[in-house]
Amino acid sequence: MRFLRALAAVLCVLVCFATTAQEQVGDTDTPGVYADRIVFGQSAAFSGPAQELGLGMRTGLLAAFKEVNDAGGVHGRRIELVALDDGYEPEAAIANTQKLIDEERVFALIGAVGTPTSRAAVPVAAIDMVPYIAPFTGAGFLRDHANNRHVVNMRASYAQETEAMVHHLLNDLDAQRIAILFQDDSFGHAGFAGATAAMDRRGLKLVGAAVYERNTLAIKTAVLDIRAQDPDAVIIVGSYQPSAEFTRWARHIGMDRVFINISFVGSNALARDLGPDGRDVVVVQVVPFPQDESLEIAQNYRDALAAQDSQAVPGFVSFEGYLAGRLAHHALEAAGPDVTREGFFHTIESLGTIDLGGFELSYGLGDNQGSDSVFLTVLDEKGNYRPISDLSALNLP
Amino acid sequence: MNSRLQELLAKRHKITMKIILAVMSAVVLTVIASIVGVVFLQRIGENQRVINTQVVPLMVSAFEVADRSQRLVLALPRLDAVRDRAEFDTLKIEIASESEMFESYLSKMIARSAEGDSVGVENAVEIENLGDTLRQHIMQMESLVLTEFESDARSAQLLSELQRIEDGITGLLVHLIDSQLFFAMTGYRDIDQPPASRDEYFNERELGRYRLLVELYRFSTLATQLLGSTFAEPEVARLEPLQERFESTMDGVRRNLESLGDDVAFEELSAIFEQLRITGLATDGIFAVRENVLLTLAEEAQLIVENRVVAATLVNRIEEFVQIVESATNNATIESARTIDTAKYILFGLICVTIAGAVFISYAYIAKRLLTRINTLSDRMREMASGNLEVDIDVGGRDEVTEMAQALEVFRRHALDVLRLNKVEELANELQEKNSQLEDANEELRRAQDQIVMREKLAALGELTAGVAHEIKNPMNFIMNFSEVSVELIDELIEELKDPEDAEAGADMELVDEIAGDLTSNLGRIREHGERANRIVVDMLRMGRDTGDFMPCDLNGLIEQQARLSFHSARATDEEFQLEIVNDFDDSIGEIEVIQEDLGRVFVNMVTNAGYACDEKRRQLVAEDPKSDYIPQLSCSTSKENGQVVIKFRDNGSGIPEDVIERIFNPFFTTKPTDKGTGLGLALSSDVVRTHGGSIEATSEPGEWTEIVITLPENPAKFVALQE
Repeated sequence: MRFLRALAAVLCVLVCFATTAQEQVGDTDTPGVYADRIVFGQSAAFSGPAQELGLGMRTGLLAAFKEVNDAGGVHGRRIELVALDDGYEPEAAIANTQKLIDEERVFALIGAVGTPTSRAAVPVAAIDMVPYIAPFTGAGFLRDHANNRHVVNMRASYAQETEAMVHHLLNDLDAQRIAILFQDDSFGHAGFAGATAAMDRRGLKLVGAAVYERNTLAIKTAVLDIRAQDPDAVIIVGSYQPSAEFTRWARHIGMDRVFINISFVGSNALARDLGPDGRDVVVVQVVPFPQDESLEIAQNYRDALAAQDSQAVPGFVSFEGYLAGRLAHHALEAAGPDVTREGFFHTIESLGTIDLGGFELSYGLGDNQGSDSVFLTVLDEKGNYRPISDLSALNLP
Repeated sequence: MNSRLQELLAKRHKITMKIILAVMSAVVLTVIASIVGVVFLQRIGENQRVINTQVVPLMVSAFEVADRSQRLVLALPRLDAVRDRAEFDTLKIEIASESEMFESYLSKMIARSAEGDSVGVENAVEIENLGDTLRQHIMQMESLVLTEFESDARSAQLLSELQRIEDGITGLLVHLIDSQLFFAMTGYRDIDQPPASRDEYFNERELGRYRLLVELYRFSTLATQLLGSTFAEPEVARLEPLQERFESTMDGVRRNLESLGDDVAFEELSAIFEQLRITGLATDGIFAVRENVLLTLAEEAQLIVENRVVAATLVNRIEEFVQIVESATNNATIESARTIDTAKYILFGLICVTIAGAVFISYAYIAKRLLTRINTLSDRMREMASGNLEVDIDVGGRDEVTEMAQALEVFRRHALDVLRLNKVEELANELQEKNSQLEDANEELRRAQDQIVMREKLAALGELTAGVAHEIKNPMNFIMNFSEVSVELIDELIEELKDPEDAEAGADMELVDEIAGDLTSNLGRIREHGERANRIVVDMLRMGRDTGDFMPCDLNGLIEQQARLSFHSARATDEEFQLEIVNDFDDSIGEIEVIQEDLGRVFVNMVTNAGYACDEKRRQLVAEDPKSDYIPQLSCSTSKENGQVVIKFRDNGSGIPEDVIERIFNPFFTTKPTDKGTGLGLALSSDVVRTHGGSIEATSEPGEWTEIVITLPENPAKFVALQE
């Protein structure tokens, strides 16, 4: 009797295999990987104050995917992107991630924007070990490989950015008195912690710290607070609107110091918002300068972006999106045609150093942090960035 | 007819008859039991019918009603636990169908209880009333739950409204406070505008405005907190204090707004705070809705409590009803049980009788009477089979077993006969065989005997040889002497005749005649003695032969001759042998027909034995005293007594000891040394005498004498012929 049951079960399995093999030629068991395409999901802010970032990431991703797809795809599969708007809200990010995994059955999540949203979404992705590729955030917890192996970070961390800020401020300008303005949330606190740690390492202390409430422009009190400390430089860990407002007001009331922004600020938006007030505002970047004529990847990016949207202006955010897309493509190419999520991780961990046309990423066992590069850019009064290698190039008052 | 009856009567002891009787008894008992069973089953069936058609359906209805009532009772808590509208709708349909079922079962139960003996009608009516109450409760609950849903929806709406207002107020106030402080500190209001003069911004009024805004922010936070906690307030009573605090907070807000006066943000702030106020205090505002919700919940709780009471009562009533029905059922069941018991006892009795009968028959008849006897019979048969036919087969009784036993007895007897016949035949054969063996042995024995006898004869002859030689010697001496004398006579004669003196003168005739006469006389004597010697030799030869023929014989002469021969034989071998033979013959005996050679040997034997005995004695005496004057003597006598010839040999020898005398005629018995005798002499003598129809007896005085008496018939040949 037991034998018959076992036989029946075996027959059932065989029949199932036979039918699936017949009906879906080339499809795999891995979600999102089909015979002709691989589907990625993106939950990011396409509305609200941070929409610039989400849209930029999406544009970059789409440009990269279009480039890949136009070149014949990866192992014969086109790469597709399903993008959902979370408005920079953690609850929405959770819902979107759930939906992308369960309903859209994406192979991986890519290009998420924001620390609080990532913080909410990463545990959801962890349930099925869905790759969480290149989130647009430098938060430290994502670099915790032991707990978040499924996160594939591309950009440098906030700690690395703030370290670079402090390094340059001290080394290039000898700006000992450093104050910080940060958004009163996990992102802002991550930046604050990074800056404090960087100063600590040098036996120094931040001279002042002020916060502003997220989604408000109420930074004037902070301006007063920071001005009271008379700093040489102000590290700003926040989004572009409050940052611009802060810079504007600070300069307006005569506190014209070095304002150095974290990459997350949204460089293009900041430039636009500041307009002529943006002169000499420093923004730390985690991607190379998009208009760098000498860099192959930058050239590729600009071509791809032009192919994707002739109206689009090259920018840091869409460049990061493009790089994320290229990273995904590179890993998929290396993982081979029978890609699984586990195989994808394994590929990333075993690739060593990846050179995306001049932009180097390096992963390994226990290391889910790709790039350690931090780039300095500075705005001019026309709202244009230019890359600088050190801060001494600034026209300080 | 009569004979038929008698035949039957005769058969009454048969097993068949008994078995038929037993089976018939069993059938009769079974039929009786069946009848009893059927009668009682009918009675039980009647009881059962009552139970089945009246009590059980009522019971079933009661249980169904009880079951349904439980579900109906549970409907309220279930409704209370419902979370959304869809669930409610499903449950409502379910409850409606439950309710309908309940009603249908209840009406069925009531109808049934009114039937027949009207069991528990009052109870049923009460149950119906309680059921109605329960259904009313359910309807109330349903409407309450719907109200609750509406209130919940409104609550959710209000909550999001509150959130929106809160966000709006915060966004507005945070910015206003920030700006106001900045203005109060720096004189900048807009970045496009030049700063105000210090008097304009750094004054009590601007700082007061900042303070008012901060306070407003505090009020707004408090107000939204109050409204927020209202959503969580579980008690109606505490809604009023909350509302009171909210109202006073809103008063504070109003006061602050008035104090702020014609500020740019006044309109905006007033509008949003008014929204906040309305959200809280409108008739469908947070407080009212919350109150409504709490009241509904309380009402629901109350209803559930009431429902519980009603449910408990209902359960009690149904239980009572069930008990009533149960007792009715029990009565019917007891009635049935009683009937069953009666039937049980009767059937049990019948079974006992049957079992007892069966046991009795088994034990008393089958085991004791039948099986024992059959076993006995079987044992006997086995015994017989193993060869023992000497068994007692009687098993008693008058049935088939007895018949079998009798048949077996007949068989046994036949077998025994056959066995005996076989035995006889066997014995006969054995006998024949033995006989032939015996005959063979006899023949052999006879041959051996003949040989022995012949040897004895020859031995006897040998013993006489010396005697014969002696006998012959005498005549031979005479013959020799006479023949020598004759030769001399002839020489004398011849000389006479030839004498020349006498030649012419003739011979002296006288002398010649005298010599011739002497010669004739000598020759006669030679002839006489030659004949004598010849006779002796013939006799000798005859003794060695065995003719077995009766022939006339001079018995006395035979005795004398044999005695002489015997004596001389002994004397020839032993010079010292002495025996004086004294003959005392009765001449009247004359010649009688005997087997001469056999009888001769007997006499020789007698004389030889006597001579031996005397010689023994003589030697013994001489050894004791060389000058003994003992003279061995044998007296041979014949006489006729009572028509019988009696021959006695009496010697004065050593005699025969008493213990020996009995055995002297036994064959091979001898007292002589081994080389002197065969031990057959007297035995053969005895045989010979018996052959002649006579007898031989020995008497003796040991050391003095021995006498052998042979008695023969007057004419043995005739006697023997007559005997045969």
